[in-house]
Amino acid sequence: MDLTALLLRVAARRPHVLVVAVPGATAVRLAVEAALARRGWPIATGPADADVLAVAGSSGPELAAVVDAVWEQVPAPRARVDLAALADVDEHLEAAAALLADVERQRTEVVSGNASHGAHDHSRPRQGDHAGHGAHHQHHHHGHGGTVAGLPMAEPGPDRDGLTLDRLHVPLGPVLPDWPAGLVVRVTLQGDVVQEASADVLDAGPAAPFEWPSAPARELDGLARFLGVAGWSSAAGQARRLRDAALDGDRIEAEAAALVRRVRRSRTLRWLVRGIPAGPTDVAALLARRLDAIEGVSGASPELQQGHLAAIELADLLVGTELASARLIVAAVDPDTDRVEAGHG
Amino acid sequence: MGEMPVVPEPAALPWWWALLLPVLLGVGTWLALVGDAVCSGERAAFAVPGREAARLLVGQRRRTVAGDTVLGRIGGGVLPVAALLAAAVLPLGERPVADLSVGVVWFNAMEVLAWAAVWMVGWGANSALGLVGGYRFVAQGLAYELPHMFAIITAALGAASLRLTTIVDAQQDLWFVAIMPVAFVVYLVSAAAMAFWGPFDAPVGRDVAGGAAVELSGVDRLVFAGGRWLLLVVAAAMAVPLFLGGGAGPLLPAWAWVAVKTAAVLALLLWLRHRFPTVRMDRYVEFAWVVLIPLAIAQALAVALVVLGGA
Repeated sequence: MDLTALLLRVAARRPHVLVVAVPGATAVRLAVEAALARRGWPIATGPADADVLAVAGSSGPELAAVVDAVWEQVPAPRARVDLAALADVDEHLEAAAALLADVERQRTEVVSGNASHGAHDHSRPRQGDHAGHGAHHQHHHHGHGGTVAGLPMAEPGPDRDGLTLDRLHVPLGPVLPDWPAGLVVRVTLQGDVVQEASADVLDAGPAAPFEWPSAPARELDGLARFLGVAGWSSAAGQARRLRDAALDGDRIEAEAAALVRRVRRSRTLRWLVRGIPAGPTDVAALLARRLDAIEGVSGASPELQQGHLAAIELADLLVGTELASARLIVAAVDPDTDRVEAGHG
Repeated sequence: MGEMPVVPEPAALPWWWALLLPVLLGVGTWLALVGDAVCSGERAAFAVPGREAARLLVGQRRRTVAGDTVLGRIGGGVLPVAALLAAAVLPLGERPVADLSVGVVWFNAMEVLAWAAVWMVGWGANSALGLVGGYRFVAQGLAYELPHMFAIITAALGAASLRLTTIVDAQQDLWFVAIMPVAFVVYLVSAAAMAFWGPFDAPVGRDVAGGAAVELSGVDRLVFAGGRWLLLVVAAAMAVPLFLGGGAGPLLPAWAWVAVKTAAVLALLLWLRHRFPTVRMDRYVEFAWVVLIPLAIAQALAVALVVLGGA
């Protein structure tokens, strides 16, 4: 009996899928997420956790380079699907599962992956400072502390407490869980405190912005991401289910009201998001506004949600925050990267 | 009863139970995984742990540029080993595998290894998000470890012994959860924090793409995740001899009561994760030092007075 073949078959019943959202292709991302929810396939947190890399939309040159770098980091057995259109999402996912279970194919892939030694083992430094999903130390060109394995050492700098700590240059995004499509925030970290930040949207250009069929569906999408970042997976899952139902045209008023009540009533969540400033307002206020919008109290989305402008202002909001707070701010502001004008970035 | 011939009752289980213990814990962990999948509303919940294990068994292992692979792998391996060693003093029914006179201290010493293990895994990957995850667990340790130690010491204080079988015997009339409810609650909260579980999963949080575990794949991830689950199960099981009267209960044999009570504590811990969002370090450290530690000390003091009054 071929044990590897058996394990591959069992594993392919529930692969983890890393979804790369492409700016301007929100519809495809929504279709992929809905298809994954129907199949019960979990969404991977990063390339190491992924079996399937699903690119939702046709990526431009900048994002495509990042996706290729991420693909190099996905361990075998693996499958990649590039979803350009809405219609064939299910077929592509089915094909990916079949590929994962295909012992002949995966065996050669494993061998070649090990032999080439470059793909998964990161033995050569990657190029470009937004390659990868932002997990590795990405040192800029000016390291003063010598090099290790071809990478410059982190250079020390003064921190907020008057100490001299290492500064790490880390790009956040574009492939991060619950992160706006195509957004890259290059941060300089000391410990987990953001010292400098600059934001950018990859392949900013004339994309047709996604027309949400209903405001609650859009806000539920944002809420699901926010709750995911806040680490409340069960409430985030509920928000995602309701979003999918709303997009299918179901009536969700009662259930949405129940979810809004659940989130509003959570004293823990209030305690956690309290006192994190986000420009003129704060994270708690942005969350409250989003909950109101889901209830239909106010149809207008927060004015910060204006594409590129928001992306640039976003960077200023993050300076001086801790990484966990920074993620909450990004999720609360939730810039609509579909609406980025060409010529910036 | 001094005249009766003394038949020394062996306090520990026969040696071969040491081999059975990992199997038992493995089965318990497997059931806990299924329970969690049911809680999360997964489809085919019974198959989820098997599929996940198969996925990680055939998965390729990764290395990162200039990562400290040895350190990271030692860290990952320490987690399940520490959980197993901690379980050695756990009475399975009436008797543990090793009936140490300092059982409570042994348990605490083993679980503290997790502190080092998670940090080593986070550091070893040479990855910024892994590093952040590793340091988050160190900060979390600063928050949970002191209240945790006060909670388990309160149980030892109540029985005037560090031996777990003696602690169980001391609860024949009244379970410690009734005398020291605050210590029990503090123990549960810190048990979740120790296994970086539930609302205390910031070290492996989604916001840092898996934190300390960000670069783990294949069998490395299996060992790390499995070790974390074992730790959770052992921490839940330890609440039974410390606070819930061990194997005491009507009708059923002692081992069955231990299993039932452990399952109940585990269910509570699984529910915690679904009920609460992740508690960030900056808020939890404040809460632990301002609220939990004074409460735990007050509880220990109250129990000490009761013990002194009774003596």
